[in-house]
Amino acid sequence: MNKKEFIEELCKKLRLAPAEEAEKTVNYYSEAIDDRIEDGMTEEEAVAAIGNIDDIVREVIGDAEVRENEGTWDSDDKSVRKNYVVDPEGVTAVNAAETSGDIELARSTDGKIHVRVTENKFVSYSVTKSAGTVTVAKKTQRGGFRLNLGILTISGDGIFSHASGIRLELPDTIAPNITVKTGSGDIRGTVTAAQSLACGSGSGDISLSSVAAGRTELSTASGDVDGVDITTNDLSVSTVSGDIELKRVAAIGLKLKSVSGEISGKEIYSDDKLIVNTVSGDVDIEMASPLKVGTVESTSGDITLLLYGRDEDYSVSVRSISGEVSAPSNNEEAQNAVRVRTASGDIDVSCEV
Amino acid sequence: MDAQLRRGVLDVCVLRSLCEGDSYGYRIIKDISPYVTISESTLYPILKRLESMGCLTVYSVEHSGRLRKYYAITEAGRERIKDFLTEWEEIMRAYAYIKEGGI
Repeated sequence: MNKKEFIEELCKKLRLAPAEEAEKTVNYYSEAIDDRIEDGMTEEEAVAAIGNIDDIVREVIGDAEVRENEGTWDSDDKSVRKNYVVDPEGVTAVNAAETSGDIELARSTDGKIHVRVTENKFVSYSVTKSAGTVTVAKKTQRGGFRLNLGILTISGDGIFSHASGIRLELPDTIAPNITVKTGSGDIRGTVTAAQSLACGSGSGDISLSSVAAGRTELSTASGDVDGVDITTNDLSVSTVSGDIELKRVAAIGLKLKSVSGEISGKEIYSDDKLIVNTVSGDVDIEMASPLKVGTVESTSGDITLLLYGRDEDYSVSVRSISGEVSAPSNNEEAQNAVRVRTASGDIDVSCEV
Repeated sequence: MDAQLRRGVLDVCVLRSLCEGDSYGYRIIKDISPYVTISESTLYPILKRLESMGCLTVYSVEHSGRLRKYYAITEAGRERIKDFLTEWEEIMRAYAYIKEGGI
């Protein structure tokens, strides 16, 4: 190995160490190699004389795969912010679960996984990496109140909160299966690359932008879901009373479901299927690419569907029992089939190129 | 040699190599290699540890267009050598005794 290769490999393996330590270490060994070369050794001999890179690295950072930086204590809201640095090598799955805290997804800028948590007297987290899975879990609350006011400290001690929470920063170099769940907390952020993304919340909102994932599943009960700039193979969104709002979404198949929430989509690109289902919510979707198969159903909601293409491209079958219907005439021979049904809602289907 | 024991011995050897004057990594290794087995990757943590214990100080000198780190022994470092020699007087007596056993 020559000096450049040695130094590069050493730097790469020291990526988990604090920057200052890593720099000092690299300088030391670089100097050691130079001294030997000056003494008459060849570059290869000098590098060989230095020793084994893994031994060097182990001395500096130990075997830790998860390193916790010192927490910084915030005396105003009595919370501790901790940063767990996790080596992304071999990570194939990331799981995080919250109750009332929020989960934020972000892009890591230094190539490492960062799990930043806000802990307080009653809430703390455990961050572990095992068999390629990084797990962030809330440790059992240590007695005291489970009150989470989310706003102010009440007095110097005693009840306080500043919502505890998790911020997951993932580097572009991995595309894991990401699963995040919250109870009442919100889920928000951006996902640069994921094999699959599953976000589930009870009453929290899900708000994502710039997502690129193999498969995306977003579900909440009373929270809203809003997604902008989402590229995925299959998108499945479901809410009970929350609204669904999508903008610039490209997916092979889309499945959007709500009970009473409104479903709206602008600039939706789908190569294959669009399935939309609601009971009482209204539906308003504007497609930006031709659909092969579309099924839009509601019980009492109104449905407005703008298809991409000419009237003749689609075989549109619409039926409303008591509502008004406006749709292009049904071209039975068309390849693309769209079916729209509601009981009491109005239907308005049109085509545009 | 027992790891702990070895580390202690190497530490003091490094300090000893600085008694006649300040030195740098590669030269330290050349100076003590005839007496003990030591590699660059073993020396580095020893230097870090000795510095944190106050037994030596570090400074940089420009050499052939690059910076070379020099190490200098401190008073505390010399004390450490003295302590080692005292501790080992007993070990030397034990050694002589064991050797007499004629195994």
